[in-house]
Amino acid sequence: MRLRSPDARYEAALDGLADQLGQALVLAESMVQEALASVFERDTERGRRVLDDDARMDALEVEIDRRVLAVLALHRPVATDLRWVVTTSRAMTDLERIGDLAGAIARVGLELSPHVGLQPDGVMRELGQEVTEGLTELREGWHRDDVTVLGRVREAKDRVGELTEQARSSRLRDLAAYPDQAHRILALAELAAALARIAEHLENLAEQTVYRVEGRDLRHSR
Amino acid sequence: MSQRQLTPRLVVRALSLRVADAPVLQGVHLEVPARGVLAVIGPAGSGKTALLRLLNRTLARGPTVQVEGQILLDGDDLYSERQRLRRVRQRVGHVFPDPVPFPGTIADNVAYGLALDRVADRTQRDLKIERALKTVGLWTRDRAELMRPADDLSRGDLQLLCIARTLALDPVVLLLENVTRSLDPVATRRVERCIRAVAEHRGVLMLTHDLAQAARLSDEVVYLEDGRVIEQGATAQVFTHPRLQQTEDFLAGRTGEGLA
Repeated sequence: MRLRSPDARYEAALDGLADQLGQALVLAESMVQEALASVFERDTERGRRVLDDDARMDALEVEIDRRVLAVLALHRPVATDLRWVVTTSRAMTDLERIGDLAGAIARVGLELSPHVGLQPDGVMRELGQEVTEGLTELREGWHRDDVTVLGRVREAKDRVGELTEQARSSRLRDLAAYPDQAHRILALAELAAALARIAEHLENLAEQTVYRVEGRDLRHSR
Repeated sequence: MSQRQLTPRLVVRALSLRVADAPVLQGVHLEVPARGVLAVIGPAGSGKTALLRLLNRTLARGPTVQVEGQILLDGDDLYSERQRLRRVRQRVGHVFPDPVPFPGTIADNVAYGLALDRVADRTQRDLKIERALKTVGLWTRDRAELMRPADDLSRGDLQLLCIARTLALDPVVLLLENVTRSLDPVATRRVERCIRAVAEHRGVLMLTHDLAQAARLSDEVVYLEDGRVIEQGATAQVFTHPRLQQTEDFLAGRTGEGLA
């Protein structure tokens, strides 16, 4: 846990950064949940909201970048504070990509919902649940400086990997059985791929949690 | 927020200075905000100190010192013949790099300017002393503490006392000339906190060689080189995206290195 400095302006700058990143974490979680709902519940309205939220996420990224630059240039943080600022910047990059992937999922929903045909199966729903639970786990771990979140997120990522493989097999079987549904099958494959990539970003974020709190760089350590 | 708080109260217009016919400042324009910190940075010999010392007439016109342009405080030209020097220095306070206590106690030091300013009412005087010492963080209810010789204070506390001595006169603008130059990092941070507290209520013009300090403490920055304002703007803007290469070279330490 970082100790507060008596420099009120510095603390205000860091508080501002923490607040913005907190908003981005909540937004990423909500975008993925809504995007999945738009697919599973065939709710196009929720899908459109996700696409609108992507602009908010992009704005947060730009704002956090600006604030990170200002903190580095004006206050020259060191040690824990430096890690804290640098990981905020790295985390924002992952969150922005999660936002993009949520947008991709929402577009799948918008494409599939109005038409009849193959729907996401139980494996896809399980995949979605693993990823949304991972996002919640990550957000809470980030706020609590809980380094054990990395283990849980990596377990979730492994399960996502297995489920993605199962989903791939199902899609291949579907392609053989329902060639007329190829367009929908490819869209579902895109959905699975997006969820797998979100799980990778979650692992990055959890690694950044450890680096921020303990200074241990666990990237590429598996 | 009143108009008076928004409007810069110290305005420098086309200020030029020649000493023994050599140009020191050339056409300087700047405005010290009604509140907040304006930092003046620049290499040695850029005219920073001369600028600061003109602002409260520590450096005055003379046979070898030619000053042109205007220094306006709330619209009054500080170099007009009607302006009394003592009043100018009361309204534009100046704290120097090395803290020098006057003889006597801590309280005597803060009261010194008040006596010159003929503040005779003891209650009023004590109130001003208390307020000034509170602002710099040296106030204590222990009367014996305030009656200690000022010489007993650490160097950092002495500089805070010097700031309090100036603040007791309730200046409109406070000029700070490398005030942490001789202090250790801990004392420096205490003085910096005091400067931010002062800047909540009045404009502070701070001259510093410490770029990190200018960055963390100021709201606006003026970069001087060869007596000219090269760039000025919001501190975050200047330190992250300076407009001019000259400024960037200075901030990055590439000025005056004799680079090929």
